Amino acid sequence: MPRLSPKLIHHLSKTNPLLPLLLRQTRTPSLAKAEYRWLLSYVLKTPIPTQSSKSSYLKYLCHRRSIGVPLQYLLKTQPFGNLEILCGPGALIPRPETEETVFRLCEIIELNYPNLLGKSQDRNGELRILDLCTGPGSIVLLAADLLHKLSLQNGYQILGVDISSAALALAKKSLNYNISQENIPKNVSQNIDFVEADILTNDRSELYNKISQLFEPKREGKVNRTVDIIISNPPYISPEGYWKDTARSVRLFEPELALVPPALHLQDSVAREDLFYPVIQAVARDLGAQAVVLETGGNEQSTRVREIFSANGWETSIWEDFSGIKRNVVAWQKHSKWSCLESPA
Amino acid sequence: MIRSRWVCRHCLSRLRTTTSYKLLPRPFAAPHIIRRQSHVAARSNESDGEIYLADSLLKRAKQLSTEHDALEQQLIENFDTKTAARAGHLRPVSEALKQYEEAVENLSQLRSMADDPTSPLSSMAADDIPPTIDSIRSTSAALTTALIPRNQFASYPCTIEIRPGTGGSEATLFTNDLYKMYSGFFSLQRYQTSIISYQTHNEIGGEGCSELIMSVSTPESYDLLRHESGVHRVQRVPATESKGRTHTSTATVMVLPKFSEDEGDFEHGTDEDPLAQIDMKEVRIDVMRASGAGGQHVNRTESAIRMTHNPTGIVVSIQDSRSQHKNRATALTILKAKVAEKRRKEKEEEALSMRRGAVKIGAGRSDKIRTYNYTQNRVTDHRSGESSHDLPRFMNGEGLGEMIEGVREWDVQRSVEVMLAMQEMEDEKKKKEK
Repeated sequence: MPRLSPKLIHHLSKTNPLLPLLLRQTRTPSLAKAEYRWLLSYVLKTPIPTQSSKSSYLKYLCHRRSIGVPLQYLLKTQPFGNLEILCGPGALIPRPETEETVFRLCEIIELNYPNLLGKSQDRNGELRILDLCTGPGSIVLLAADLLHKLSLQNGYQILGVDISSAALALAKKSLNYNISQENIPKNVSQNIDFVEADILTNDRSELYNKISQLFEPKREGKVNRTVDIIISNPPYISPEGYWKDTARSVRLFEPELALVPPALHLQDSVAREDLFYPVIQAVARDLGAQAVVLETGGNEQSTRVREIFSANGWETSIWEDFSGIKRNVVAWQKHSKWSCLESPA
Repeated sequence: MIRSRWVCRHCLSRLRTTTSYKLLPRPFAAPHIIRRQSHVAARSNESDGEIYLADSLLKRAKQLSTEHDALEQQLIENFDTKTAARAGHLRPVSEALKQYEEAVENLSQLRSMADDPTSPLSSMAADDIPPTIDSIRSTSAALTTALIPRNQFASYPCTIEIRPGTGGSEATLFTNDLYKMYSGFFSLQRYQTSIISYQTHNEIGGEGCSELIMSVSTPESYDLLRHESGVHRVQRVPATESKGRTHTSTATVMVLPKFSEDEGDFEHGTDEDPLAQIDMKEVRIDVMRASGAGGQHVNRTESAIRMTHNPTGIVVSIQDSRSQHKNRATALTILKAKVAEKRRKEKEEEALSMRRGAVKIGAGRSDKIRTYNYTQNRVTDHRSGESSHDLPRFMNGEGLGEMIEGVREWDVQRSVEVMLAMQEMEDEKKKKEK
């Protein structure tokens, strides 16, 4: 990290004595000023009785920020599309790369919708999306918001699955918060559900039961096509990368559970950071998913994940994110109508 | 044979339009371009060379037609708006050329059939020759018009402004007469007009007008009226004259394309603004993000977006919101507004420069485009050289249409000459290079 010149710090402190604190994390004066502005507007909005306590609260927040607490934890929210996802310890802060992925997916669904409908003899024909490792529910909520605006003919159902009860509690709170803020209409909550489950277990039948029950409460027995599309942003950082590549603020304050896959079921053929992808592939097979959209850690990992899927008979493609990193691996069943996923619109 | 050492320019241009051009000594005669439709009487004894287009003109048409075909091929492979627009411009040329070539081919076949006395069809073929010649003539005329680049503002409605020039109060009287002439013409043509400004004051001998601005809201009216721009000269004994002398005064007419200023119900720069439409392919979007693994590895709060509109070079960078997505939307809105503003400004400047170029305000009597001579009961257009000898009828706007038609023909010929000269220059250049 380049050293900050004392001249710059002195200059900033003359503008506002709190700015040098923020500069420790932001490293650029313009971003420090922007963060100060956001913190200030948050403090002014929050109901605190007197003026003096407001300024001391702002000072407190700046001190917290200077030791690396994520701004999103201090402000309690992170904008995600038109929504505000609640953030707090125990859940990953939603990243703009994920936001972009959801927007791209929904755009493709909008363009190709009537074609994408499954053969609807055995069910109502609604679009079913399963979000594995949903965390604070950001993908579920944004996809619901976007699909609701499309007013799809046969409706949609989105289910978020995560192992962390803390994260799911936050996700449900986020849903209610966004309804109360009128970011999304109230009836969206009918199409959304969250399930606490571990997808890394050896026996996933319990997981499948839960999923098919939520999608088809009336039906009993085996269903061969339970979901249409699986989307996932699983933990994908390797243990070495966790110490080498992640930002200090991420390491110190965000849950490791959401970043690094656990040391379970390790095989020699699969690196630990790729642990989730074969499992997601198996889940997609078992549930009869037509398409899978995954986020990965970048170029090399995307190539590896792509191989996992094409080795299992999927058609695959890779999407680049806004900074040109190969961020998403998309896979779809051969000869299915989801081949429109090949390149983002 | 007329062998004059000196020929007036107007006479020359008039001579050239008729068949009598042959009488002129070679250096004076411009290469024959197309024969005018009105002089078909001498058809029987004309040679073949005269019904066909000039070689250089044909060459130009073929050039454009090949370009058109190439562009069409390109469009099939990948669509691009600019290429499509260019191809659209060239399409009439290509089509007219095809028709022309077909007609020429027909004629040669008919001729060979007619020349063969053994063929039973020879008399029928001979009957068919004159209509084919006619069709060659009409298609070659169509080809000539297609070759001439259409005025870029031809499809616009226009505003027409009349102001008195030299001549004092007599000029204001004449301005008012011109206004009456044009309004008569517009009502005959059933053009929709509205008066923007009409300033009159009483003069001795009638009502004078010191300024008239009228807008003609019929589309394409600019194309018809653009040749009216210029100095109109009047020669008469004014009502203000006590000694019976003929005065020469002028009025200037300015015709400008009307860009829709009352564009409808939208705010400038919003999505409905036609000027704010931009092609996203021409926008470069930069995300202010440090390089690195990104994704879960970092939780940057940097959300700034910078958008650059390549054609205009306008740059917008936004870091208002914590959401990159929102910043992107804001940046695009602001970019559109800025682009629209710039385009609007350019349009206004263009309109202004057209205005300055349209006519020299207060130009002298000698820069006239048309003379209204009351004493001789005559109106003469100095460009086409045509005259009308019924001034009262003309001043009611009844003969104006024909006169404008004459000027347009003159303009077409002049454009063809310019085009040919350019073509010849290019050819010579190529020869030199070889």
